[in-house]
Amino acid sequence: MKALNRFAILVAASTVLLIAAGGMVTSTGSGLSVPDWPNTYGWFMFSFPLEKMVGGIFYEHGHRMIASAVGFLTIILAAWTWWVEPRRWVRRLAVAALAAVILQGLLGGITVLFYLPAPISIGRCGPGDSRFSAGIPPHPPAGVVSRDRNPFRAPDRRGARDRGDSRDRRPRVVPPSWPP
Amino acid sequence: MRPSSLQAFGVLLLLSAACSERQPPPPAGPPPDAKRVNPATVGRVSGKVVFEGAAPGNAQIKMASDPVCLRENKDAVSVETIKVSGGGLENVFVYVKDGLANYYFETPSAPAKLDQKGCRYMPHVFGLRVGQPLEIINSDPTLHNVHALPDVNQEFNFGQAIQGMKNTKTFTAREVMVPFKCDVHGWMSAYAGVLDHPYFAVTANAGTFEIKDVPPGTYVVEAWHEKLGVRTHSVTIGDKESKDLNFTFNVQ
Repeated sequence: MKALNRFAILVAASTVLLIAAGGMVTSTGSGLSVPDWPNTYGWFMFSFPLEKMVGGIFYEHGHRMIASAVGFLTIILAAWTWWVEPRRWVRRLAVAALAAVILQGLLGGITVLFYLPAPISIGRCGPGDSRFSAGIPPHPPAGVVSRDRNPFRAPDRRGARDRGDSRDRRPRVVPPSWPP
Repeated sequence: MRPSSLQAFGVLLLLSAACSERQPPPPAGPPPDAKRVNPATVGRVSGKVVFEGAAPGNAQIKMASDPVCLRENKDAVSVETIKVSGGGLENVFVYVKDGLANYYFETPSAPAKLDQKGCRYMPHVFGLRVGQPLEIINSDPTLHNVHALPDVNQEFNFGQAIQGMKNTKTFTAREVMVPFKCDVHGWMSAYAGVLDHPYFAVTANAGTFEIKDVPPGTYVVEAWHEKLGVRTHSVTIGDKESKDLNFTFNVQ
């Protein structure tokens, strides 16, 4: 579980990087420097030559590459969480994070193909910020403590220990203060 | 697919449809009461666009973000916003704005050309006709995207990744002016005046211009500059008459 916590932090950190890269795209006015999507100037996105990443393409294509990496990490996070996390709401949150990254990718495509329509471009910020938020609370490293030593413990709705399996000695993750 | 997923997909489709813009209809044929210009009576409007006061310096372009552009422009290059020579202002689009109500003009089939050379648009300001092909060429050994941002016509944005690429576009409605930009190279900009008649010119050296073959009549002539705005004059042209018309711009 500790490894999952650390991985969740990595995903959250990569999302911060992605948001920063998106900010660079906006502030350099490079949002439409790559006019096609999901390809890049006709190249398959991942085979676009590095030497052609010039001017605004550096920011826009770089943003797409970082977004792809974050998407990949989010897929792993969702699958991993679904596999090992006992709490249903945390598992659902991980799946919601994956849905958010997919939604944001689609909105990114729409915003390129329809020349930065304001509602879509502004709306894209929501999934990014919420995905960052989703990465942090369920997996706080400081929260990995034994359930027995946690004075504010909340009952797990699902898990081997609640089902009376005494062999389960996994450390418990302290749920954040929400949902109540 | 569950209903909730279908709904989400539907919302996305609606958003896409809401974001798209409708293409204006193509130019129609001549109206029943259309007049043709009589070549035997046409006149001429010429003059100068004067720049008053000291010309401000244009910002220098930093091309370091693309090594190809840097290589193509070894000397320092400035933006073309306010280009003054011989007391005249260049890159001013002068055109007949009003007064040609019932005249009809055939659309030329020869394309207007917009080249990307040395990471600049050439020409920086130009005119073309509604329905006339616009040939856009990439003469640079680097990538450009060509992004037109009209208010009335259909916006477009496409890439030209390879040197020598050509694309042809047309505008279907009158619009002064249609800005062009390259989002790869933020300093690249151009402006096109799209008109339904041939009476326009762009000021050249010393700010001079000439509009030929103008039929007799009273016209509103406008001079447009990308930074300094517009100036308007009224002029009456008699049979075979030539008129001088001067416009004055200054930085306020």
